[in-house]
Amino acid sequence: MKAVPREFAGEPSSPISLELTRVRRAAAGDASAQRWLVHQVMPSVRRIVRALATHASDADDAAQLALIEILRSTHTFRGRASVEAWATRIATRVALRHLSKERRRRHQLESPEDAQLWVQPRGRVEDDLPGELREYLDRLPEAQRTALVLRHALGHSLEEIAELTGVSKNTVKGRLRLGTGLLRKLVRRDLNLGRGGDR
Amino acid sequence: MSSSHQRWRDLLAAEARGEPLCDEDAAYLEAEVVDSDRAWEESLWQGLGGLAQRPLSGERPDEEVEQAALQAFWNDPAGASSELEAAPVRRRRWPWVAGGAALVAGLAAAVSLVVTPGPNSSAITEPVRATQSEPLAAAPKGTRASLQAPTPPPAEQEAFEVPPGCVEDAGVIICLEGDGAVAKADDRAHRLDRGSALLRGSDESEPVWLDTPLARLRGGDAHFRATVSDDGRSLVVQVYSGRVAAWRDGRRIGYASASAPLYIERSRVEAPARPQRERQRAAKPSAGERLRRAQEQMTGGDIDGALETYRALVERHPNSPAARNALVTIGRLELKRGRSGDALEAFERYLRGPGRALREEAAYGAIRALRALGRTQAEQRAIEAFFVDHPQSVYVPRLRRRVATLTTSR
Repeated sequence: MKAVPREFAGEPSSPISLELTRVRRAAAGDASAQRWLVHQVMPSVRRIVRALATHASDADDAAQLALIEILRSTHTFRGRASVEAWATRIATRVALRHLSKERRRRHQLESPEDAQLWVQPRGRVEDDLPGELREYLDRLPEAQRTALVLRHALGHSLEEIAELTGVSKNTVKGRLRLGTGLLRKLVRRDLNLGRGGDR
Repeated sequence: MSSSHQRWRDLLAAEARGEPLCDEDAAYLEAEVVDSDRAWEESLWQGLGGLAQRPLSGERPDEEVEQAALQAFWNDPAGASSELEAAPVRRRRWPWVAGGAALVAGLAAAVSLVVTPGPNSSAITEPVRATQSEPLAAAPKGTRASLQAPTPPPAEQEAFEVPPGCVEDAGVIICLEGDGAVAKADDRAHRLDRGSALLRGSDESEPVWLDTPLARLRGGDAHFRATVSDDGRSLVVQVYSGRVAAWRDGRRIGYASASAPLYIERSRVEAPARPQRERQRAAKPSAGERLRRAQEQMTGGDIDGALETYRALVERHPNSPAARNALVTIGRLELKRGRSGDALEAFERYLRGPGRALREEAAYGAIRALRALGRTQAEQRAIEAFFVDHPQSVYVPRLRRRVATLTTSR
C-alpha cells in the first residue's frame, strides 16, 4: 500500500493557529509535525549558535541540543507569539549553557598545543581589523562576550539579555560597557603594534 | 562615549543583521563621514552585527543536524537519560560521505507533487483582480481537498496510511474531504475547481502547477495551500515556505509568499477606469520612494543619478523629513565631487531648518566645505561654534588639531 503522510490534513488556515496546531501535534508525538517544527526553527537556532560559538563542532552540538530541548518543550507553546520567537528563547538558553560548559572543559583538559588545533581557518570579512573578530571575542571574559553578542549580533534588548543571562539590567549595561571597552582596547593594541590578533 | 557614537555603533550592527532602518537612521548612516580613525570601528561593529549570518568553517549541513536531533529525541523523548547532554553526537570523520547520504535521503524525502501544465489551462477568460491582503477569512469552510506527497522516507512508511477516499494518479495522491471539494487529476494536468488543495514542490526545476478557475499557480519548491470558494469566484493562496506565482493568459498577475498571501477574485463587472487624479497620484513617487530609489542608486554606484534623485526629493517634497536629511547627503556627495560651494549651500540649508537629527554632521560638513574653499576665518568661527554646540562629538579631537594648525600657521 502506498503511504501518505497525513501531516497537514484538517489544519486551520490562520498562520498562528496553524502553528499552534502543528506544535500541539508535535507534543502529542506526531512525527511529521516534529519534523516540521525542527525544520521551521532550524534557521533561528543556526543564527544563535553561529553568533555564540567559536568552533563549528560546538555550534553543531549546541544546535542539536537546542532542537532536542525545543522538541521536549512543545507542551509549553501557547501560540501567543510565533514559533520562531518561542524557540529562540529556548535555543539561546541551551546554547549558552552548553557552550559555557564546553569552554570550561576545553580550558581544563587541553594543553596550549591542543588548543592550536581548534584555531579556525581565517575567513576575514572585516578588512580594517587587524585580526579575526571571533578571536577578539574569544579573548573577552565570557559574561562580557555573551552580552555583546546577544546585543549586537542577535539584536536582543537589555531586558531580554538580563532575562536570558539571569542578571539585572544594570549588570548587563556594565558588561556591555566593559566588553566594548576591552574589545576596542584589544583591536587598538594590535593596530598600534602593527600585527594581527594573537595567533 | 558620546551618544551619537553609540547610535552610530548600534545602527551599524543593526544594518549588518539585516534589520530594516527607518529613513532617518539610513540617512544618518549615509551622512556619516568616512574617517580613517573610525574605519576599523565600523568594521568591528558591522562584523559583530553580521556574526550570526556568517557560517563557521566545517559546519554540518542543517539536514544532518535536524535528523540527528530528531533521532536523539525519538530515542529518549522525555530526556530521562543524560547521556546525550554529556556526549552530544559528534561530527563524522568523512563529512562529505555523510553529506552525500543526507542529500540522497533528503531528495528521496522531498519527492512530492509534480504537476505539468495542462492543455485546458488557457480556458480562463474573465477578468480577475489579484490582491495581497488578509484573505484568510474568505476561505470556504467545510470543504477541503488535499494533494499529498506520495513518497515518504522509506524508514517511516509504516507510520503512514492511505487515508480512505484518496485516489492516486500520475504519482500524485489526491485526498478529498468535505462535500463540496472537487479536485481532479487528468493525465498529468491537475485542476482544483472548489475546496482546498495542499501542495508541496520539490525543487525549482520541477515546479508544482495547479490550474484553478481563476489562475494557474506555479510554485518551484514551495509548500502552499490553494482554496477556491464554493462559487468559484475567489482564490486564496497561503504559502508556508517558498514563493508561488499566479499566471493568467500567459501573464503573471501576482505572487504569494509566507508573509503575503495572495487573494484573487473574479470581478462581477469590469473594473471602472481609475479617476484621472488617482492615476496622477499613482504616477508621482512619494518622498519615501524617492529616498529609497536614491539609496538604491548609491548602492549601485550611480552617484550622479543618486544626487539627481536627492535633489528632486528636496525640490518636490521640501518639508518632508526625508528631504531634510537628503540635504546632508547632498552636501556630502558634492564634497566628494569637489563642488565645495554646492556642498556648503546644502549643509547651511539644513542648519537653517528645524531638523536636529543630523545637525552635528551638517555642521561638520560645513566646516569641511569651508576648509576646501580656503575660507579659514569662517572655518575657525564655525569650529568654535561647533565646540559650543557639540562638545561631546567624536569630531572634537580632530577639530582641535585643526584649530592648532590654523593658529600655528597664522
